Amino acid sequence: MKSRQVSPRLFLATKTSMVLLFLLSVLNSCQVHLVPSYSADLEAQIVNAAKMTDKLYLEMIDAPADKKNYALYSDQYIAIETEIHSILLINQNRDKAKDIVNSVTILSKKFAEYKDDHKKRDTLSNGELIAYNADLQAFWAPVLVEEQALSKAR
Amino acid sequence: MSLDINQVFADVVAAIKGEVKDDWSIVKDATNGFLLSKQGRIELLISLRMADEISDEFFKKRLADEKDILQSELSAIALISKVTAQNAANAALNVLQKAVETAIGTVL
Repeated sequence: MKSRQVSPRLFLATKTSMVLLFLLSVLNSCQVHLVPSYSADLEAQIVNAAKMTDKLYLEMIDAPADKKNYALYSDQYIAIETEIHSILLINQNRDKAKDIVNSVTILSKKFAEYKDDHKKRDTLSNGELIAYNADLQAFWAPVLVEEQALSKAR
Repeated sequence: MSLDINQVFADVVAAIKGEVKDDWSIVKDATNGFLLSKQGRIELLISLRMADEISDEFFKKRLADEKDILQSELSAIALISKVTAQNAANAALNVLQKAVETAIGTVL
């Protein structure tokens, strides 16, 4: 029986297309992920909590001298601290979120420090409240910038 | 073989350059924003101190807090850089993928 001969050209084309198909399947599964996926909900939560912080301090600045006692604002402090802890917890459980966790941890530490200063001294001057608010907005900014940057990841 | 390696390489480099160029504005804007904000805060602290609205001790503590703010801002810049790197790498991989798909189409 005469054996069938495969044309060399056909053999080469088949071999080439198999190599290319293999390469294509490898490339299909190779997307680089260096950062977490963006979350619109988390961005909204960050914006809202930063607003709550600003509102708290503006209310205290606006209040008369005898209405700046810590007890009048403790609920608001706790509400904001709860939001910060929630944002921290979400990011601690997100893959590749080390940078964000670092920023939120610093924010959490400083918010608690400023809150405790108010609690210890019972009232703060307007100058102190203005300075604290400016710093807290500066601590919120990187957290928001980080989440917004994730929306640009492809 | 219908895969022009030199052309593919040129296309990959162009894709990476394009991504880095677009994403650099994100890094630049964030950095400029942080610097402007820092300048504003330092000026505010000085004016509050000079008006005697904050004590010397409080003033020094807030200045020391600028280190923590900077640390947080650097984390943000690091993350933005990673977004840039991810976009550039995936743009390069997409170019390669398209080149291989085209080559397969030619062979088949």
